[in-house]
Formats: sequence, structure tokens, C-alpha cells
Amino acid sequence: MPLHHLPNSQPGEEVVLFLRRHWIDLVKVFLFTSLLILVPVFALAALLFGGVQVFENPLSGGLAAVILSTYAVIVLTLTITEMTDYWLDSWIVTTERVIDIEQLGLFNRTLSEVHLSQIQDITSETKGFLGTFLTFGNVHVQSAAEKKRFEFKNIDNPDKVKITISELANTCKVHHKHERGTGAHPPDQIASAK
Amino acid sequence: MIFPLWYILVPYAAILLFGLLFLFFNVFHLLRYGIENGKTTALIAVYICSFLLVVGGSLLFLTSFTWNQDVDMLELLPFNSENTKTFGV
Repeated sequence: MPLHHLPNSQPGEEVVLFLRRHWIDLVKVFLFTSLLILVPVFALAALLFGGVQVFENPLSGGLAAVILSTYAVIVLTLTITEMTDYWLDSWIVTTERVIDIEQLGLFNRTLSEVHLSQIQDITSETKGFLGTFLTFGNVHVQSAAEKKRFEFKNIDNPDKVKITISELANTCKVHHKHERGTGAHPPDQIASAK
Repeated sequence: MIFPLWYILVPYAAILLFGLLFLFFNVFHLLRYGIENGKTTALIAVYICSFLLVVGGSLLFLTSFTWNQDVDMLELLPFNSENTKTFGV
């Protein structure tokens, strides 16, 4: 993961976790696409079964060909857009912060971040038969600074991710407390800077 | 009402243009915001290949019809004799 692409990257900051939604979400996209592909197949089969010769007449044949071709382009476009949405939705946990990158359609992109020291509460949840069986679920990160919660949607191993973020947040808080305690920026220096 | 058959290709061309535009935006987003690795490059290749395959296939299918003839709008109506014969009603 090239960190130089991320905003406000700090020297020495390392990526600990790079998360995407569970592969089951991609399977759902492919299943939906398969269902859409089967619709005209069944429609044509029903017409043939009913003795309707659609492609024999130049008008009805041409019309059917145009409808089928248009439908194929639309289904492909939808599938590609859903795959891009899946691919670009990601969550990055570094040694300093948590970054939430959410792609909502093609023209709506949200990038938000929270510093590990600002994290107050982390909750992981696994719901349903598939979630339990395939170990995927959500992780909610509540920060002190923002009202809005970070939500890691349908990620693999949410419990493990929760533990990792908790450990990193604790380490970060201890580190920051130590920095403040040792006085990395003594008050006289701050006063002179002003 | 009589009209040239190729008129019904216009909506297809519009959707094709729309699909091409979306393909461009998808590839642009992956290049701009995607992680630079082989998987993203492979995904872009899959997008372009599948688009070429679908569009190529549909164009090949469409060329099997004669588009330069005129058709009567009335042929579309269900009570038309020729039409009922074609649709086997």
C-alpha cells in the first residue's frame, strides 16, 4: 500500500491493516448479474416454446436484437460499476490513524480519518448465518472528536480487526501520554514561538 | 407510418455511448483512487475485455439483420395479419 497517496501521511507511519469488504459481497454482485443474464434467456426460451418466431420477421427480429444488445450493455455497465464500488471501498489502519474510504456510486467519494488516540469505543458485530459461517461482519469505531461513527462494513474477521485497532489505540494513547509527560514541547518554547 | 428500420438502432447507439462513458469513468476511478498493484491492472483489463466482447458480440449479432429497409409502423400492431402470422397468435 503506497502511503504517499494518503493525505497527511506522517513520517514513520506504517500500514497495519488494509481492508476491503468480504468476498461474499462480490459473489452477490455476480449472482445478481447471472440472474439478469438469465432473464432474456428465459424470455426467449418461453417465446420459442410458445411457437413465436421472433427473428424471422425483419422488424420484430431487429427490434429483439436491439433490445437484447442494449440490455447486455446495461447489465455489463451495472456490473462494472458495482465491482468498482466494491474495489474502492476500503479501510486502512495505520500505526497513527484509521482511514475510511467510501465510494458511493461513481461520483460520490468520502474519505475520512480519525487519529488512534481519539478512539473511544470499538464494537464488532457478526450477524446472520452467512456472517457467522464465513466470519464476516461490521466494526464500529466511535471517536471522541466526531459524532459520526466509522463503520467497517462486511469485513473479514471483525473480531480480530477490533482487537488489532484496540491494541494500536492503546499503544498510541500510552505513547502520546508519555510524550506529554516528558514534555516534548516545553511551555517556554511554546511561549517563545508565539 | 413508414420509417427506415435503422432508426431503432439509435437507442442502442445512445446506450452504447452511455456504457462507454461509464467504462471510462470506472477505469479512471480505478487508476486515480485504486491501489497500484497487479490486481487493479488485471481488473481494468477484465473491464475492457468484457466490454469489447459484449459490444463486439452485439454488433456481430446486429449485422445479421438488414437495416436499410423501410418498415410500416402498423406491422407492430397485434391485429395486423402479417404480424399475427409471425407471432403465431
